[in-house]
Amino acid sequence: MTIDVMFENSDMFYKCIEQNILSVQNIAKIYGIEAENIDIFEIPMISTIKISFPRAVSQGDLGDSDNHGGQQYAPILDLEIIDGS
Amino acid sequence: MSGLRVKAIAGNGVLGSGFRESSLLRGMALGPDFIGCDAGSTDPGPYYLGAGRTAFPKVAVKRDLSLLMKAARSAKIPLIIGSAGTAGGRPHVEGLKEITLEIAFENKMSFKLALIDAEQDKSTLTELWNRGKITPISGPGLNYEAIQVSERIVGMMGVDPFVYALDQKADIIIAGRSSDCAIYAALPIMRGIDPAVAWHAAKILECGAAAAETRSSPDCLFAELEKTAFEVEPLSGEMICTPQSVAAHSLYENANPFELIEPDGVLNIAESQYQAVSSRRVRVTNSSFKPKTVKNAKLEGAVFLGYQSVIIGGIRDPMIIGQIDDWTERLRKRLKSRVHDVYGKAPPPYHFNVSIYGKDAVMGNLEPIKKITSHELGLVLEITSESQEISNSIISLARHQALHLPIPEWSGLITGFACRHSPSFLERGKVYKFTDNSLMETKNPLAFFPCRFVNIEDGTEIN
Repeated sequence: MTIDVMFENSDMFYKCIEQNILSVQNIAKIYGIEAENIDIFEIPMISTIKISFPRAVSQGDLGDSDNHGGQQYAPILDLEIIDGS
Repeated sequence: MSGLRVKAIAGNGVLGSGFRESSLLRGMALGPDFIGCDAGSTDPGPYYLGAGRTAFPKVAVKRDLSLLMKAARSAKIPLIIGSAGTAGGRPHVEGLKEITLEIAFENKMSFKLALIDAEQDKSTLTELWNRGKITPISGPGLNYEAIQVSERIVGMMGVDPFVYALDQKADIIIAGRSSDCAIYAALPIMRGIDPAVAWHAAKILECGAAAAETRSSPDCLFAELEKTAFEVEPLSGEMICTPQSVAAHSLYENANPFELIEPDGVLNIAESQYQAVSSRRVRVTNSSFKPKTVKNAKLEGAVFLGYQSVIIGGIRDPMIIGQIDDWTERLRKRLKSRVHDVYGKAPPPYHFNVSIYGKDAVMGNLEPIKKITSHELGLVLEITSESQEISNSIISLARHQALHLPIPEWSGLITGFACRHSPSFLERGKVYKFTDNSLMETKNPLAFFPCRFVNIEDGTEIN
C-alpha cells in the first residue's frame, strides 16, 4: 500500500515536516499498524511525502476490501498543518 | 554516436483505456522509431490471471489496437505490446493475437508478428524451486505447495525477449507478462541508448499521459531519447508536462520512490534532474542504472479459492444499526447452526464474510473512526465454498436468517434487512487469490520467455 501526499507548495511541505504530522508514529497510530512496517519518504523536489506499508490482506484475497488500494488515504485528510506564518 | 536519437510513442497506460486519434497522429508526424503500449496490470486483481480473462472489453481493446497497428504499419515502425490481455498468460496472448489477426484481416495488412510466452510450467518451476532458484520478495513466497496449487503462473520479462524479437525483424510484438518499462526500454537499448536513460524514459512512458500535469483522460505520450538524456511531452495539445509532473510520475506504483527494481537491474532516480525545455516539454538527466549480475523475473500466480455468491442489502432501523456488530455475530452463529441442520454431521466448509458500508467496509481494521454516524448501512454478505451450488445454498440460508434476525428491542417476527435484488443473491463464479511475490533466476531469459513468429500477408496467416 502506498500513499502519495503531494503539497501545493514547498512552504506547506516543510511545515508538515517541521510539525511532524506525517511521522511514522502518527501514521502507525492513525492506521493502527506497527511503526516498524511503515516507510516514509520525503521528496522536496516535488513537495511530496510518500507513505508505504504492507497490506494486511493481499490484493483480491477473501476479506480484501479495496482491490486497488484506492481509498486508504482518507484518514490523512483529517490531519491539520498549522499555518503559522 | 553524438547524433543518436530514438523517438517513442506510448499509446496509453493500458490498451483499451482509450486515447485521442488526433494525439496519435500528432505523434506520428514527429517521426517516431516505435510505438509501445502496455496491455496489462495486476490492478484489477487475481481473477484475470486465474480465469484467463481480460479486464478491458474486446471492443475497447480492438479500437485502440487497430489505430496503433495502422499507424505503425503505415510508418513501417515496430509496435510493441506487453502484458497482453491484463495478466499476460497463454490465453491472454492468444486472445490478443486473435484480435490482431481480425484487424489484419479487415485491413488486409502484411507483417511479421512475434508472440512471446510468459507462462511458466509447473514442472520447470518445481525443479527451480528444488534448486533454490526461486526466492521470496514478501511473505513465504511461492513455495513448493503454492506452485502445485496455482491455476496459472507467469513470469515478468525484461528487455531480452523484446530485443530478440526485434532482432528477428518482428513488426508487431505481442508479449505475455512484461515489466511495463521493458516494453519501452528494449528498442532504445538495442540502438545504443544508455540503459539509465532508456529505463527512466520507459518508466515515464509506461502510463502514457499520466506523467502530464493534468491528465483529463488517458492519452498518448511522446519521448525523445539521446545517449545520456531524454525529453518527454504529451501529444494532446491540452496537456503539458512540467518538471514536477514528470518527477511525480516516478513515485507512481512504487513503494520506494528512488529505486525502481526491474528484471534487468535497478534504476536509481534519486539524483535525477528535471528541467523544462518548453512550456510543455521536460528534459531528464542524471539517472543511473545498475545491471543485475544474474537477471531474474518476478513470478505472479493465481490460486483458485472457490465459488462465491453474494447478497447486497441494507439496514435502516436505528436500533439494529446501534447493535450491528452484535447482530452480525448472531447472524454468523445462526447461519452455522442452520448449515448444520441442513447438511447434517459433515457440513461443507465455507467462508462467510460480512462487509458493512457506513461502518468500516472500505478500510477494515485500518479504519480509525469507530463511531457510526450514518442513518443507513449497506451490507454485502459473501459465501465462498468448493462449489457454486453449495455457495448458492448457504447464501440463501444467510438471506433468510438476516431477514428475520430478532433483536431484543422488538417482539414478534421482524424483517430487519432490505434485500436489493430478486433473486436475492448474485453468483460471482470462481474467485482467486495471488500467490506471494517471488523472484525466479533467469540466467538465460530467452529460455523462460520463448518467442514464436507468425507471418501475415494481406491479412492472412501464411505459416
